[in-house]
Amino acid sequence: MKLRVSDISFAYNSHPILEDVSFSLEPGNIMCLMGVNGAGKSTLLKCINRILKPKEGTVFIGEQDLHSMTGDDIARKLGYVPQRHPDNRLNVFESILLGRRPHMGWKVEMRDYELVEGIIHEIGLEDLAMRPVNELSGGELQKVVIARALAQSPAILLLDEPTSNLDLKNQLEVMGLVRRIVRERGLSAIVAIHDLNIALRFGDIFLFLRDHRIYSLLNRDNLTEEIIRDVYGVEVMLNKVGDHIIVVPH
Amino acid sequence: MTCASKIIESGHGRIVKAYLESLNHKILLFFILAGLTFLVALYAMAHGAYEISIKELLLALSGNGESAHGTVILDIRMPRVVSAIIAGWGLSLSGLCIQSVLRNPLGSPSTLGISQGAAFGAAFAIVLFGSQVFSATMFAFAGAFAAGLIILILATIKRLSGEAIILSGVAMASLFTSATVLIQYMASELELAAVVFWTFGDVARSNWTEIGLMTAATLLATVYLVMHRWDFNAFSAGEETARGLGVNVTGIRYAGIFTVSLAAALITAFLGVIAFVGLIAPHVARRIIGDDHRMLIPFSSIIGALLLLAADTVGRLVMGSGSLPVGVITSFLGAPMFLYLLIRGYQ
Repeated sequence: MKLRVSDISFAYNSHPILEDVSFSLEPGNIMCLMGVNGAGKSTLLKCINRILKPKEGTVFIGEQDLHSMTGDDIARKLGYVPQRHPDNRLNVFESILLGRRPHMGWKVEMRDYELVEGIIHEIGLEDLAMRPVNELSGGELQKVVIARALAQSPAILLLDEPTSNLDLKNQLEVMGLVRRIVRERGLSAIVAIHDLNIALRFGDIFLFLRDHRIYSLLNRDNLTEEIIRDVYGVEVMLNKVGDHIIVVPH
Repeated sequence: MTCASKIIESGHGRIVKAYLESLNHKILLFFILAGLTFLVALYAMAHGAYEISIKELLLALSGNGESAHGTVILDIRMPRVVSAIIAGWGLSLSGLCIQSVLRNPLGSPSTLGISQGAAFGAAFAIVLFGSQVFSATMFAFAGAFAAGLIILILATIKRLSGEAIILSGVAMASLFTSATVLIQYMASELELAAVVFWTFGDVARSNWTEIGLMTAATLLATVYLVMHRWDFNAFSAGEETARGLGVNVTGIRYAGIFTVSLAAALITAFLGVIAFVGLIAPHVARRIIGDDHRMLIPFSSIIGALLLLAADTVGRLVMGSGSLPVGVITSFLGAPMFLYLLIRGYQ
């Protein structure tokens, strides 16, 4: 389903965080949300699924205005994975099953259980299914929380820095997983991310935030050294190595 | 289960099967604990200064026994046993709910100032109106419930975080405690004794009407928690995740605290301050079965009930005189037990 963000503005008290942010995203694409710390990436993600109420503007999923939807309705369309996950003693199966909450009636149906098992196989979490999540490694936990978002059967995934705190192998695994899911299930994903090289490797569209606004919205081929310099305040070179574009700071 | 067996036959469903089996083990364990509680209750009703055999006990319970047995059991021991079970259940659920919605392991009726509010209300009434049971109970309830309400109002106006709510609870608790000390200082010796005696939580205090009220409030809290069990699970996964899953975080937090404050306030008003059960029982339950509130709600309830009943029975039978208030025992057992849980948990 197509996501359309229309003129979103947000302020904490009178301190502006986002101003007039508009874009749309077609299914099957990963959009990387980029910008310096405090640029408003997390705020934008939260405004999109109405965890934060934007001061102005609205969001459409397909033809539906999020404004007119309940929390459960939104949770059935948008799977949100926050940046931080406090310790808890739900096991992996229960953590993923929790993603069915917006769909559940009084009782957990057998099809909810089946769907969770399907996702566990899809992501390769079979050996961890009965483990409490507070015993998992960072990479394993990230896969579990993405699995939970998938259990919501959403049209769109919103991921807030899914690769921060992960080692290189896990960064590649987690982002590879996101790309596979997006392509296979025809979802779209918006990923707030700091690592330019990981972003360039897995993203299709890049949205750079600067001074509370969209500074640039482009695909990989149009990215220039100037944009990165303007957004991050760092001089860089873009080099092509094999199929990949690599960002190297001076 | 036919649907389950169909998936398992198709080669898929191995994990679902393992998970459902683990759920069944937990359910079995719950019934074992419930059975154990029932046995302790029978034991407690049969033993004491006046010994009654189990056979005579069962006869008396069915209304066919000797009238002397009937009087001892139905008028003295049974209210005490049932009070212990209901109070343990209610206090434990209050602690569970507060811990879950505030995402803080220190949550309990005493950390929000509910117990201290009750003690203050009772002390106030005793000094002002003399030690009539009725006014002490009414004021204790008012004090306890006011403590819960003040915290909720503060939290609503200032949009406090879970942590800030706990901290304001601790502040309220300390304010109520100092106010109680001030009242004690101004009280006569007789009033002072009554005030101090009131604060020793004792399950032998209540009559059937009061037990009925405590049960109603506890059932209300139980129904609320059970209805929102998945929302509470979402809280376990973190506040932002819960919001992302469509949970009305603020609404559930306030309604939850309101509901359990009512139960804890009533229980404390009728029985006095019973420390630590509300804090410990949910922790014991979490250690045994994890954070899934579908199981955590029944487990906390039964563990709270069993703990308080066992503590009261031990106090009554082992400590001799039969009148040692259970609040003293839970305080004594509670602290070392809590330390043990912490040390084991953080090794």
